[in-house]
Amino acid sequence: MIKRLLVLSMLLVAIAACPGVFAADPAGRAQKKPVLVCSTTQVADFARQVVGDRCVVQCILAPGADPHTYLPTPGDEKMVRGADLCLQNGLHLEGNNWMGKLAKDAGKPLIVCADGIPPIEVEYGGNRVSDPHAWFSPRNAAVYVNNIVRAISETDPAGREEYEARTRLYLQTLRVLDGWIREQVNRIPPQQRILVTSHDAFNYFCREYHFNAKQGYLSLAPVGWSTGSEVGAGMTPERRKQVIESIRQFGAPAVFVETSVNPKLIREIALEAGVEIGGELYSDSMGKAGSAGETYVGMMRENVITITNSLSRKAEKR
Amino acid sequence: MKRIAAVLLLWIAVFGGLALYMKRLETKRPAPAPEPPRIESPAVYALEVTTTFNVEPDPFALRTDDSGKPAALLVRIAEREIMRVAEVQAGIPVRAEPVAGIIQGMNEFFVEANMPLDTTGKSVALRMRLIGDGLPVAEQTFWSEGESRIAGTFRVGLDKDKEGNKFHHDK
Repeated sequence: MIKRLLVLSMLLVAIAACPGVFAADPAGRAQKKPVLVCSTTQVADFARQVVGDRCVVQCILAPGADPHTYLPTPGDEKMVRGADLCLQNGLHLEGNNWMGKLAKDAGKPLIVCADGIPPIEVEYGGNRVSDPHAWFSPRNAAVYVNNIVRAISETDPAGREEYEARTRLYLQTLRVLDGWIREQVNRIPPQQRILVTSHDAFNYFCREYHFNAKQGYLSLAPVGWSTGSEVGAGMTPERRKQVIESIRQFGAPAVFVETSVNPKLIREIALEAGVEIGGELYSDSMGKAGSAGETYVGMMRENVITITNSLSRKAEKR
Repeated sequence: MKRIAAVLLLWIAVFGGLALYMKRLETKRPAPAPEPPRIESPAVYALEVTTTFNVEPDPFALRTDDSGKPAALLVRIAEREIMRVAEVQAGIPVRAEPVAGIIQGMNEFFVEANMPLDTTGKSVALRMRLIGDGLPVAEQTFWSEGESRIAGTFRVGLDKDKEGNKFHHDK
């Protein structure tokens, strides 16, 4: 009996010695994957497209959360402490620089994904503010992605080829997305391309796809570039009045609510201006897992479909 | 003890045999056929590219470093770049001369050019001409397919027969 057990255990040892039999990773890759901690859902999606399963991508903001007003929790501090690389949007999207502070306190490297994008500067009460919602133009999304691939290739040089291969494919996806948006927007007559939203998040979108010509191709919204309390942010009675007048003056057929902003104000404005709610748009945050807007491409696609369906339908009625 | 020895012997026999078999397969593999000699064409060649649109750097290019603008117009033979230009005006030909490495046989020029995103959906064209010793050898026009980029392969076959140089190109 003892001999049999001995033979069996020797056999097991021999099998276990064969390379790859009990290895969790068939490629023999190190078990520890680099960890990327991202501030917003858009940045996290771009990072996932670049790194695939080679890294762990974590996101601080939950889908639907507002980055302007977010207050970090002890759980976020712990998450950042475990990061190899932190990524944020930048241009003050993260209200009061919460992501920068988290990364600094944990002593982690931080990448600003919007670096290199010429910002749209908007004037509010004599103050010039850079609009942080740069991802609403796919050509800017390409800058985010290029910044991410450069940063992660430095953090994990062994994976550079893999990251670049994925990025090349994703950049082609963004190119196709841009062409598709232009084609869809073209269905709306130029004079009907009026986009009124809850807050000033769509400046880059309006400029890229020629919405709000009478507004200088900029957003039209009752709330400024941030829903928080920064300079040029929030809502003033003058601004509210001005938006209602603009809706009437420009002949806006509909207004749009945003998933990450309380819809109460824009609903009141729609009622007062006598226009319909055209639908709900993803703005500062993408959709929940399983929803159509859970990725950047999905979010842009759903927004464009919502906008074009609403505005082209109204154009047909006229 | 005998059983242990038997298992070990069996183990060595199986894996040893397998290793010998794999080694034999490696040695039996035929040597790769030698590549046919590449004979460079004796003529002096120039490549001319004309576009009906302003060529701009591709905003969707992979940029792994911060060095300058990405190419707006790029022509290459295999991995070798023949032409790399950052900006091209519509209707003004861009020329590369001399183009080295043109061989007798099939030559493939891969071309890609990026148009402004605003022109996406409009039909635009790019013409390539290969000029040999001052005479047009072959030309081809590429049309956009509703995207913001034109990419294609200009194939030129250069044959030498008794009558001298004879050219053909595949569309």
